[in-house]
Amino acid sequence: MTDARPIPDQTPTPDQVESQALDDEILSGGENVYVAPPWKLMWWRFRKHKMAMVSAVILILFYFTAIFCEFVAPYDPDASFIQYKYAPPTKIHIRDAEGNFRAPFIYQTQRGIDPQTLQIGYVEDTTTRYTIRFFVPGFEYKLLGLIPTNIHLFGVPEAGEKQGVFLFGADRLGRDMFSRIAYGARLSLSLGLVGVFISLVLGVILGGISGYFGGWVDTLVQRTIEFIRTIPTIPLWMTLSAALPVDWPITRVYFGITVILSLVGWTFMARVVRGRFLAMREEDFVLAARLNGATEMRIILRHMVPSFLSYIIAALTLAIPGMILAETGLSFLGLGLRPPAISWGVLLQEAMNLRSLVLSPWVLTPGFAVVISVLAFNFVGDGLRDAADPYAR
Amino acid sequence: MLVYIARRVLLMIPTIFLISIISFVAIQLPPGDFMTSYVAGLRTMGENIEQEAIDNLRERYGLGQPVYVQYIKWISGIILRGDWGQSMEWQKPVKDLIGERILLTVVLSLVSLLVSWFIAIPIGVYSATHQYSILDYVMSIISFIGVGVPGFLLALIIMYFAQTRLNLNVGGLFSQEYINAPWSVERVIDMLKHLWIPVLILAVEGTAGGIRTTRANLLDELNKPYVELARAKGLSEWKLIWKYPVRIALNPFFSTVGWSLASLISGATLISVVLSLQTTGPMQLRALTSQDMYLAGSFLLILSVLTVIGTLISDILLAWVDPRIRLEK
Amino acid sequence: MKKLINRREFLRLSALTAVGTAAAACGAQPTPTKAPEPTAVPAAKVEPTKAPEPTKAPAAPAATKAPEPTKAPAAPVSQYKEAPMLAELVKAGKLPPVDARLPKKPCVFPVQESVGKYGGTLRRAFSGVSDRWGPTKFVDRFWVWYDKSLNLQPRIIESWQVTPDAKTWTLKLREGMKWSDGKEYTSDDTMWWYQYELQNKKLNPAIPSQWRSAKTKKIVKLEVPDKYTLKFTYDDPKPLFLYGIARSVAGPNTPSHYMKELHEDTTSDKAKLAEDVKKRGFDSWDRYYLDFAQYWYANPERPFLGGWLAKGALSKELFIMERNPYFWAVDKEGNQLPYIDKITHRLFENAEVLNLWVTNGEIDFQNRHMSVANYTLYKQAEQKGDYKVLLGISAGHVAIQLNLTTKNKLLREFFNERKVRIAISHAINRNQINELVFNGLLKPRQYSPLPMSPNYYEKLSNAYLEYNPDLANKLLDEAGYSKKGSDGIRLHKDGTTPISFVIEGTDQTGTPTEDAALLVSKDLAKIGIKATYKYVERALYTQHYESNEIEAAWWGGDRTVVPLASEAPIFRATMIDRPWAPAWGLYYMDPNNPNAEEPPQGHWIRTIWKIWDEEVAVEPDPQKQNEAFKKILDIWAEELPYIGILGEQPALVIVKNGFKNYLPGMPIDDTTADEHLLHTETYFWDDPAKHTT
Repeated sequence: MTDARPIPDQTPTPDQVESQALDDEILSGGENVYVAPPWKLMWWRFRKHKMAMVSAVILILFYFTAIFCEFVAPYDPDASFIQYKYAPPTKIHIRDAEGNFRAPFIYQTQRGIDPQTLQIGYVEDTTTRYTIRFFVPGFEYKLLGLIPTNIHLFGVPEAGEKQGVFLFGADRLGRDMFSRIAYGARLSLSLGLVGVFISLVLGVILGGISGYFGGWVDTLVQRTIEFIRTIPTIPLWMTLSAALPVDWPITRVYFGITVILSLVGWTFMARVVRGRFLAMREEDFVLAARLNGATEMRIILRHMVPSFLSYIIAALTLAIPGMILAETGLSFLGLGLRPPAISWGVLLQEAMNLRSLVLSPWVLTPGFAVVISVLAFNFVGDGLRDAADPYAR
Repeated sequence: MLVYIARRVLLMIPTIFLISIISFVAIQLPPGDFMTSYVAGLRTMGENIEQEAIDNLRERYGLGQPVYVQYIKWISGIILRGDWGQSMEWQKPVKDLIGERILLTVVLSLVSLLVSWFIAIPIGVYSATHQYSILDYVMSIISFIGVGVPGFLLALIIMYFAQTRLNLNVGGLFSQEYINAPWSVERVIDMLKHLWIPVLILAVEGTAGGIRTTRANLLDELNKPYVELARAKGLSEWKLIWKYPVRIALNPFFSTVGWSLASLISGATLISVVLSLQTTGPMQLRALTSQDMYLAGSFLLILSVLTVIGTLISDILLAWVDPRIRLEK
Repeated sequence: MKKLINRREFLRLSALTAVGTAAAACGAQPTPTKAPEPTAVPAAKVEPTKAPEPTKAPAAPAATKAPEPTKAPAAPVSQYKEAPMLAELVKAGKLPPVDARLPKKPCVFPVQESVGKYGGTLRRAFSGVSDRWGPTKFVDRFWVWYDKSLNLQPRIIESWQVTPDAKTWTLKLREGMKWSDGKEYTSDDTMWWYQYELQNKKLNPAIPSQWRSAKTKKIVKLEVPDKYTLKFTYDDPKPLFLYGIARSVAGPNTPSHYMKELHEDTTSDKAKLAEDVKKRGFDSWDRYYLDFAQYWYANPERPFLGGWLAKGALSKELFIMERNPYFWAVDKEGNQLPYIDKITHRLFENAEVLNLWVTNGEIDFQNRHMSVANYTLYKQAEQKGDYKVLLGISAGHVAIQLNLTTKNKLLREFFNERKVRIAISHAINRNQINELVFNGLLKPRQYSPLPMSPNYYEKLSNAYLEYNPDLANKLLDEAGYSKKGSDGIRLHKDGTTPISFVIEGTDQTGTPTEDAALLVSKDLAKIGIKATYKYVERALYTQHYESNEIEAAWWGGDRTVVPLASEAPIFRATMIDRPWAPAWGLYYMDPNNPNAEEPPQGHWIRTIWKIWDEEVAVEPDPQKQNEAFKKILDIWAEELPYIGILGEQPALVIVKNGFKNYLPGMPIDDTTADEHLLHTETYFWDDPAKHTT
């Protein structure tokens, strides 16, 4: 694995990205195309990319989960129960033992241990049923950190502590994997966003300065970027992580790690920005605006920024998965977040062993969460890039 | 062109010098030194070592000296005598240690690189020319999954699969009986039985990136007027695509040479650790964690220098392929 | 308890008689009649379901082991048998015959199951040069070694004598014993070491405490009256002398005929030596000597006394050790040991690869790196991998150290309150942690000597173990910490500061010990104490405890099999990586240390030190010595300086089917070379032809 170095430069070709032809449907929109505002054109074009649309929906769901993880999670992600140790994903039934259809329910399970190998197993006891209910009371929390409540999306309130509904099973300490992944989403997904945002700010400012002023400023910034990119990523991570003070609380460590990831990431962003800036200066529409006597400010704000922004957004979207993966990589190296913090990287690190793979593969589900989010971000980014230049035609 | 190259080479020297300083300082940045990690390591393994012994060791390794003294000792050794110093952990000259592992590393990385390009370019071209087709989606999903699965996880899963389903010996590049055996047909076969796992994983990752890059760039090119013109002139679609757009779309491959060169050596670090390959990656990682100064510093220096050289090569290649860049300078 | 009396008796007898030669099992000529302990324990085939009981079968009283003038098969042709691979070399004239290679009186190693067969390879794994303990603990034994019941027995030496004041120790070497290059091993070798290594300022800037008198700090006096006698004389009693010569890597058994050429003071060719130093990349001779030349595993050319010799470099993917043709021990039937031809250690970068090797049957005998968390994994693959998971008993404990000398004044006051420590002990739900994290494989206990140890003390092991949060709360209230803040956390005596501290640990994510730490911190929250577990990088952890900047630590405790052998460092607070009182511990070792701090007058830690210094460390009578040590344990049981949680952890030993002469249920501790307490040279393969890789 070549660590989380951003996707290799896709921008050095100075030519603008022209998207696929707007298809008949848009064209048949007739005059609309010519008067529609840029964001509308983009949206039309983006809609064409089916996978991007699906992915966007997935991402919205993921971020909803991240924001409202206390609500989505049926159990406290830290609560461990001996009776659920290594419980596999709970089977959800809609048909009972007599063959009648019912509202989704689960059976009580019985835990058994092989005296020889100490392997834990669970069997369903079809005499006791618990119906899965929605908006049920559970552990207390504050919604959005403000409203105290104990309502959760779903659960089996009748079961008490006798039986839980574990969509993704339970881990070695009997903690609900689904709840843990939901909580992990908060750190992992926001880490991507925040990290990319910091990269963006750094990248836009320095890249913009570099592209706008040119000359020795440009050279200086470019040399710095080259220099930072020369240092191999893993040692750079290790050094920077080691520089984080130990007595920092988790939240601050989290922030520090984000900054570390973006310190590596901004160089990429800066190059994109600079490249676009240079290329756009030569564009016909900029030239046209200039010939029309528009002020430099107006050219930048009214003409350059909009077309520019779409690129940035696309580049950003494509950079987020890199951040998410980098977080897992950091955890693998033991440099990232640590328990009791819950992030996908931490969960993967806990599950990265043969024992989990052989005896309780469900604890590897955080891996799927990572893959799916990376996939979704890439598709959305792809779609955005395809849609990026609304005036391509 | 020659002037351009000469100028770039001259610029390299201060960069490399700066890198050497930074690498060395970076290793010292984390708290403690080799002795603290060494002693801590012993203690976690249940060994004990007396405090006075530690102090003696620190003295002996010159760890009490200021950083700049240690740096000067190290760098002058490299420049004047080609002596990279001694690894504290392995008790061997750094040169020998890296030398023992370099061949295998380069072979592994090169094979994976070639395999991934070999797969990525045709698929990328297909995806671009058949945008939004079902196959394009399928290829995209596969390649994104390739990007998305953390390599270290994939490595563990494939290794387990290879052992339980395919009945292969896993871990390392040879089965135990062939580790020290002289080269023979059986040994090569044994190596191939191991080699496919890292190559597969590295190729999956590399291919994914390659497909995306080729697809995106080719899409850009395909919309250019000259393509339209060629098509209007009745050039066959095959020729039309492969003659120019593909070539230009491959520019990014040249610009990644800069990276590839360094990753030939460090590229597969995490995967190599999981697969227990005797390549330079795990050694580098270990040197960094145990603060084995000279070994870690040498790795950093070599990798950085390779990146600098790689960037130079890719710039020269780009300038050669695309005259516009040359003119800019 | 009987077994310890053996050792005491043994020591006392020799002490009283002063001349009574303490000879040993080893000393006798091989005779079939003297078969020591014909496997009292049912052996490896029987699989213990849980942590097996401490070894029964006390060894025959040592006194009876006095050399039995033997009716050795005096056939001059060949008294002894040897491995086929050596016999071939002898035939080819490349090696002298076995009788000439063995000493006059070879050591006779007892076998645990039966006399073995020659041949085969043993496959093990290690994680690199820094993990050389895999190979070294397999072979490194010194002048004396433990028997199965933890009594010391002569090994390389034929016998020892000690004066009643325990000041003078006289060791008798074996006549005709050879280094692995065929040169004889004599007292000159040790004398050379004494003169040129021990007293060389470059090699030994400070003399190790083993070779110094306890009070005068003066170097021991060594005399060699003849070729086979060594006489060590100390200024003060040195009752723990024998422990110091049980395990060693280099040191006094130095092949002087070889090493003197590599020593800058004694070499005959200084230029050549200097060149070799440079060639191997060392910048000074002392580093060359200490890190390379003197160790058999680093320098395969160095003659050695161990059962196997290094072939090739330790830094390679496969480290191979081959039998030492001059090994000086035999079994009861006169077969020269070792039985197994070759030991290999394969390098792994990642524990999961090792686990794959284990479950695939590619590892033959291994305890190191076998995590108890993987019990089910290993156990399930037993059939497929054709091995058994045997259980030894690890000396380690899961424990928490509250720093009684922390720089935080309020916390220090809190931790120093005895009731607080006892409350914390009662607040921990040991059974839950055991079940949840360790599959119930461990046993709730305080940090204390193991049951098979001569120093086992039930009162301490079982002190304050009961899970009783109510009692814990009551004790805290009584101690004056009844006020709670709005968040339910108790307040310090200043009435405003909540009781909160950081427990630092170095365990990797997802390891059982880290899980246990997180559970403990939850348990403490229930009695209103906020204890945050925090991972710190190892080097940083080291810095923290060395500078006494640690509030509490999460590091187990071991050295509980023969605690006196390592001078009970945890009990005396001198092992400051288990920082229950690092500043005091530093003061005890060196009052001038900048981080040292004098404990208050009349503090119980002073009593512990006093008992150690004035009774345990100088008491020649082993029985009295153990009685004195028990007084220290009594103070521990009263004050509970260290909160032990779980112990008697089963150590998993992977043993390939068909591997013989290893017994389950052995204690596993650093002092007794981990899983290698028994004579590794007697291990053998039932069917060696099957194990020749």
